[in-house]
Amino acid sequence: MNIDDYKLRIAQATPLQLVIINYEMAIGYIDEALKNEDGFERGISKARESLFLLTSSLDLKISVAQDLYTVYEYIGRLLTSALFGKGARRAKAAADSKSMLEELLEGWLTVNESEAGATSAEANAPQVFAGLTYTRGGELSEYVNQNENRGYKA
Amino acid sequence: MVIAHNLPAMIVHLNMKKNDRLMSASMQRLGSGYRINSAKDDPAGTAISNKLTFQVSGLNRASENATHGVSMIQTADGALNEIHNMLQRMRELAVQAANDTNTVDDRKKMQTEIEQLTDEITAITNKTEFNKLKVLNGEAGRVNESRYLGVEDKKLVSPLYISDTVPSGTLRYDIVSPALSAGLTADVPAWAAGAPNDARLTINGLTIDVFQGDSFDDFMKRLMNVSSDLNIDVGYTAGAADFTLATTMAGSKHKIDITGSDWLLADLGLTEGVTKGADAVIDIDGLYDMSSGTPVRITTFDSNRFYQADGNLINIYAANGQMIKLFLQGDNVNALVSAPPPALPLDMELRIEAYGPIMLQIGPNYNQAMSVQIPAVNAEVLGLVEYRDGKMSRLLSYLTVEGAWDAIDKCEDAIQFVSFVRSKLGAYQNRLEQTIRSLEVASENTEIARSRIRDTDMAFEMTAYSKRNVMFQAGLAILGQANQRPQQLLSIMQ
Repeated sequence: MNIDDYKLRIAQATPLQLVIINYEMAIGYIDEALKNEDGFERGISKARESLFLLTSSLDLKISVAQDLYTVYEYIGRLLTSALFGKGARRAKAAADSKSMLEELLEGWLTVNESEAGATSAEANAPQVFAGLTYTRGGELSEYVNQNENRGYKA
Repeated sequence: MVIAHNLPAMIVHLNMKKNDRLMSASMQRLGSGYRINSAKDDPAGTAISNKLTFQVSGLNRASENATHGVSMIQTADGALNEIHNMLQRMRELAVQAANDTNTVDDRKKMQTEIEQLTDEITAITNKTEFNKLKVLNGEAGRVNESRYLGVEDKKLVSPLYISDTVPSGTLRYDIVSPALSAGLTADVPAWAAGAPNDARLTINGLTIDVFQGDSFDDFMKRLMNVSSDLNIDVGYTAGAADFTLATTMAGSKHKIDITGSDWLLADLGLTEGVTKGADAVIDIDGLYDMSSGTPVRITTFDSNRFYQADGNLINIYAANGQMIKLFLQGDNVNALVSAPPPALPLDMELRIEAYGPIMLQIGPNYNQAMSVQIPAVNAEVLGLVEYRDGKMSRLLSYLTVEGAWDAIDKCEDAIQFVSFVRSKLGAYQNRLEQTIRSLEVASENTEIARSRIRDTDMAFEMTAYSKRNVMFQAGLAILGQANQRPQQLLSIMQ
């Protein structure tokens, strides 16, 4: 997983998009584990760390979060059984946890579509514009607006 | 009837308590070193900025310690589940091996498999770690220290397990005798013209043939071949007048059972019959509280106290489920007393601390710390191997029916111990989840705590249900989940 791909997205993300990125990371790491036998343990461990972030960012006063906790707790157990299991069993545990995360992610993506115009979770994030800019050659490029003070006092 | 109350004051009070808790959690996080340990795992800048942001935004961080605890317990339980499966398989094989229809080759195959499983258990124990802490090798267990009250640098006793109910203090006891092997001395016969006749010698059910005209060396070669299958050491130097047979392992369960042709037994100076080893013997004085400088006897440890020894493994029991599991390093003890002084018995002490190294701060007050103690679960504690002078020797032998019976017993004990530890982990997790869910604000809601998911179907069902909830209660769902901190996400990708 390329950290640079994510850095910019994370800086720009709304709180909801952070959740989505968190899911994508967890799923991505499970994918890595499934594709590469040598990297299996690392991938699953990283997926567990991602899941831990999801779990610890729940606000359990809210009932939806309590349901999510129950599912995350189960996925956590699946991932540990993948970590210590053998052969087909461990691949299945990893695959099951992946499909559960994917299903939940679908839900969040739907919400994301309807939640346009929210602001970045990171305070004072730079604005990034992608598209045709007036550069020589007129190529598609990104423009990061670094000139504004973005809320900093000095 | 009017009950006077001051609702606004109560709300203010509740909020104050909430803030207290958040503050205290933050202090604890800084103090405990959790998550801030290494710059690689969690850059220092991240940790500090976390502390600031959550105080400002009032996010609920009190439960993070508990969530961490759950994650650690899942790690331990995941590993134990695997160990559990392996022990079940070992037990299954033992039952199969206890049947006389197996050939020696069948048994050897089973033996190879259980040896691999045992090694696998050792590997799992060694690799199971959480935040660099090995959770199954005893590092997370109760802190204890065994001492011999004389001068000796080798370890004489390894404490394997101390139950939570044993009060902290110093256990005083004597080693009266380590476990003994079963042993025999036999004569070297004078077969100048070879063995006078065909004969058989049967040791623990395995037969060694002697053919007319065999030299003693032929016989010895065959005996040596068989002896490793029997876990019997043969001591013989060429030209000596006698040789010895001794069980590799010490304890009353190990024996040498001899039958054979009369003339051969007479030539070897052996008689038909069973020679047994002996279990270790200790003499327990008592448990003492040393905190005041003078020892004060802890009498709760005296009621219904007894001990059982299986070889060098000693289980001391007392009322209220108090249990101390010790392993005598028999070889070290023997080496120490072989040229007295000192002579047996040896004065021993075992210092037992109240807590293990893992304390989870799960509430704002000092008494709301939760001590998580996970005893060592390794092949040694499970009674599958023992270490003699640093070398491992295996305690399970599937090569004879008696060995298989003993293995069934040992596997059952091991499974029971693993189940016990897992149930303890389950209880810890319940308590942590209670903490995560039942911060005072949550207890205002009459939310019924959801139970843990038990199977995959249920999990997929719950996943689908949660997904719908997320979609249809989008606003609430975002509130419930979106307390994410960008820096933490980045730190995972390091």
